[in-house]
Amino acid sequence: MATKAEIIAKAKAAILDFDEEAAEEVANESLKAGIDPAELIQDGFTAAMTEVGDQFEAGTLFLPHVIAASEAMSAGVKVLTPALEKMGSESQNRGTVLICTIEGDIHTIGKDIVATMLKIAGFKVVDLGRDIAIKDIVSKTSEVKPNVVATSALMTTTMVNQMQVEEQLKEAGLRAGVKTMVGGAPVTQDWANKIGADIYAENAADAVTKLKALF
Amino acid sequence: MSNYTPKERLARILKGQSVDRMAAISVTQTGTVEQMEACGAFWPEANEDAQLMAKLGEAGHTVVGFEAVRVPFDITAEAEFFGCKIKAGTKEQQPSVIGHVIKNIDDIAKFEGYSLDHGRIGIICEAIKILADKYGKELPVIGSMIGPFSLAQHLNGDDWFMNIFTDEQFGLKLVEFATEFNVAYAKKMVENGADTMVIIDPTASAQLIGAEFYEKFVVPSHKKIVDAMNELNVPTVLHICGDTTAGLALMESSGVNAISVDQSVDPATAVKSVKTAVIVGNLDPVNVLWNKTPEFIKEKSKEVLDAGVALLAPGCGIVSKTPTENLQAMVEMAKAHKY
Repeated sequence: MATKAEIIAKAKAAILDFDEEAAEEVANESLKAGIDPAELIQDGFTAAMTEVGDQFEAGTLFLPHVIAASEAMSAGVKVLTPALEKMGSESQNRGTVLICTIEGDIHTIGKDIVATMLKIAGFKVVDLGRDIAIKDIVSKTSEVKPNVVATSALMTTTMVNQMQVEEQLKEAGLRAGVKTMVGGAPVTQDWANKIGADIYAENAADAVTKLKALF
Repeated sequence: MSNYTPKERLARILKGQSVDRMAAISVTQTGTVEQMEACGAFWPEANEDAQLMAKLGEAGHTVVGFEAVRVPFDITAEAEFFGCKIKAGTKEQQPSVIGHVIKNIDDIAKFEGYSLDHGRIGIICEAIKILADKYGKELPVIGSMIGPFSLAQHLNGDDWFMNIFTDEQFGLKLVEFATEFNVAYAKKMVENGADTMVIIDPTASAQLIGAEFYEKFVVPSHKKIVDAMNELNVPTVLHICGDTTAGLALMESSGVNAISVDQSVDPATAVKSVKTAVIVGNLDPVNVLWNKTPEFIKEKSKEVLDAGVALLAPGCGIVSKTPTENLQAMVEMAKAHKY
């Protein structure tokens, strides 16, 4: 039987090869060998995703690779999830981030990358999806009680809705309990200042750095 | 010296030939609420009715002072043509694509053999004809369409970015399918009187997909469109969103006449990075054109002009709430510029 180090190395390789089946296989093998699923995720899958993320930032890997690697990781994690839940073990949690693409906007790629990178960095991410009504952001904030409410706007016509997030969170009395983060192609630090958002993230790496500094 | 019509002037600029002064145009969408109120043609109806579309396209010239007329105002008619689900636009917002119709290589065959006569693309061609009949002798008539890579993404959905990596055969086939459509549609716009073709391929960004994928999935399809337009003596402009600085040489390799860069590109660097294509751009549509004053816009325009762009223009689609006087400040600066 393979040693723990070998299995973890295999898990890394599966992600770096963008291989969903290999990720599932190694997850099963790891369960049989009695390895702590959280450890396999942390030292195997997540470590490999971090490498992919670094290479994406460096411009040696691109969006297709990041998505394929993250799909492979999801496939592996799915196999491990029942065991993880049974053990009641949670991997490290830096804080909870509620994230979505703003009302009126259906672009998801940028938001998805940010969500993936935040997960890798140890945040619990609640991804509401795209074109999310402001009132739903507010009600989810009240329900989930996240540390951060992050919205992405990819169009000049929808970024105005980020202003609404600020206003409606205030009206609901929730604004003081969260940090708001804004991002997306047309969004700038100026815009964040103007609408009163706490954090502007230029890209996924920037989002991770800024949230890590806070939590 | 100055006896060029606006139509001749723009064509010469795009082809890199000498002219008396800069032309004042926007290669990206021009519709704004103030123009709608001035001409009585409003979104969303102006996206669906040829007369109203032409009226609002014309307002870019008659209300703002652009030296061209341009339609349409969105990039969803192409996906809609193939049956993608569309979220309707409003007075201030363009429609968007929310449903997708092609999952795998077998799905493509279902869409072969289409006729270009139905759907909103026909309405766009009709609007082009109205504008060409009225202005075609004097003014450039700019047609625009989504590019094949982004159309493929609309057709396939979010998996598209992974599929070009994990299922190359499907990726290439879908891009080829989209390209054939683009070529036929562009020709149809030209038949109806368009004399300048803008390809808007927002997600075909080398920054997102890297040079290797860009070369394989984007350059050949843009080249096919450019070649077809060259045969008809129609110059092409390519607009891709984001920081395209590193991808400019690749974008240019398709043979496009002009590249429209967005506000995240340094225009001086862009001008230096291209050999044959000319650079169009790149005033920030939000933080400059929409939210600032005419004085500030003139200052920013000067910076962009000093960088050596061939055409001063918005870096992306004009925001619908942009004040007319702000756009006029840009128009004024462009018209006053000599190369």
